[in-house]
Amino acid sequence: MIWQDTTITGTNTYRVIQGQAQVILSVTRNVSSTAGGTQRSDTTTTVNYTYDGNGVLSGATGDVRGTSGSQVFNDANRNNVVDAGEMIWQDTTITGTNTYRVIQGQAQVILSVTRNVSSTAGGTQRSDTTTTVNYTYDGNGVLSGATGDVRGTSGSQVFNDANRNNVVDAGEMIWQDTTITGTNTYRVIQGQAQVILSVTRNVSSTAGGTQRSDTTTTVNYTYDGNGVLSGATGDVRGTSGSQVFNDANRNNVVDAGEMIWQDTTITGTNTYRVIQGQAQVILSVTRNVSSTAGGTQRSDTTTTVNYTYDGNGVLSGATGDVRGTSGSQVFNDANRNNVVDAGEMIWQDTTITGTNTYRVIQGQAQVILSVTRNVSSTAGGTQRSDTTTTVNYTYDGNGVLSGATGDVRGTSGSQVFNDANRNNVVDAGR
Amino acid sequence: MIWQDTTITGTNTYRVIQGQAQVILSVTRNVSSTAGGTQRSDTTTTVNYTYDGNGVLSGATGDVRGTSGSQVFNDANRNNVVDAGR
Repeated sequence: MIWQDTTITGTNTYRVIQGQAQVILSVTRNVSSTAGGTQRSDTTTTVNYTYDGNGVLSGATGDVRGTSGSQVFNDANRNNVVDAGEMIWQDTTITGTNTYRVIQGQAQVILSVTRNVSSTAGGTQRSDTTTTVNYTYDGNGVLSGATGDVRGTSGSQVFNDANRNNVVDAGEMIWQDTTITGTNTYRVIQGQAQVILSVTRNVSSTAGGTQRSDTTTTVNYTYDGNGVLSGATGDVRGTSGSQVFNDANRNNVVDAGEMIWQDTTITGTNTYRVIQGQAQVILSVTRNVSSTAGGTQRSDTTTTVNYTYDGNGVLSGATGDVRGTSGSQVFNDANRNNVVDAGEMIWQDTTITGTNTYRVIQGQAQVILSVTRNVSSTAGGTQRSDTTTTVNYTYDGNGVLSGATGDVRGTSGSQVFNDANRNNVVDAGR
Repeated sequence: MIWQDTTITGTNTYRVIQGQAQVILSVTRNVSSTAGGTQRSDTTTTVNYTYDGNGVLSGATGDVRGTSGSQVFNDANRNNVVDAGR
């Protein structure tokens, strides 16, 4: 347990009303940083108080202005070491309004609306969200509860190599935004409204509308008896999908109805640790299950990512793997009548095992190398395949995927009959 | 029943389309031979993939180039025996 202190400096402006000096304006600046100096906040809260003719406090209005920021690791040279100049600040601009009610003679915040706007150093990622909190008080002016929500967008620039020349030409960097809607559930602990449950939905699609994602992330926060964040658990549920071309009439033209959605069901769990007072994901396990419209192809893979942080809670690295199966139905004309009879469509599955290597770029863990092994054999065991696909991904200085190279290595094989003793019978070992 | 395996080596060329790395060209070489070494095959399959402006696979073209071969007996000296070099 460590102290995180905030330096407070403020000015109050008074007017004498009915012989009493009453505060009509308070301007309070709060400046803080974490022990390691990797997080900082500098906000100024302004409150204007109004009084009636008798000097009784009748209302208040106010706002909040400032910035908060975090240092993030930008492994520019991809050596997985924090070299000089690779820790950079990512700041958020905060603007908010507070609505007050006078309860038991005190101006209490009943509604806060806070907008957070941020972007990365290179300007390729952005976020603009507004958090609303409604506070409730009992008859004595004691904070009794709170409800709230989050609305906004976040986005990333992505490379769209429209002319396939592998160069970022004008107009080929486009924004892909995500719409964020969430609800926060609070409990009052030691007089503070603390978020105990956040449910956040992220909905996005690409510019052309051919890819889509709709996921909901749930996080349950726990606190000790003193209101100190002690842990968190969470999960992710949703779907992602892509439109694919199904040339049903085999004319090599995209006719009406030939673009169909192939969706993937996403279920995952996130494991958190509290580092420098923040709940950080240290392990994510995500299962992706999909099948084609006709049900003749299927995939079921689980991606695991282990995240590591330095002592100050800055993401420093990640490792991960992929495990699962993919499969296709194939026709096995067992009775040789050239008709698909019952039981003649059989699954041929492939076992997938892979490792992903990550580098932290602009504070994000990005895959720079994936090595995936696919092993399969037919039902009767007479055909087999064992291949490994390697993909090296490259990113520009802002963490935008700029290219990839890869190869495939492996073997495939079939069993053949070698009638060594010429008896027209499959003997052992022949 | 014996196994006849094929060695696969290939390269994939990617382009980033709508933020996704998509394979636009795959070149795969398959090399195999029978257990006794009397048949062999060495082929290279090339596939060019095309995508529409939204990154959806819209078509593909491809070809296969290579050789396959078998050893045959050429009884040059007519002795009905497989002599060296024949």
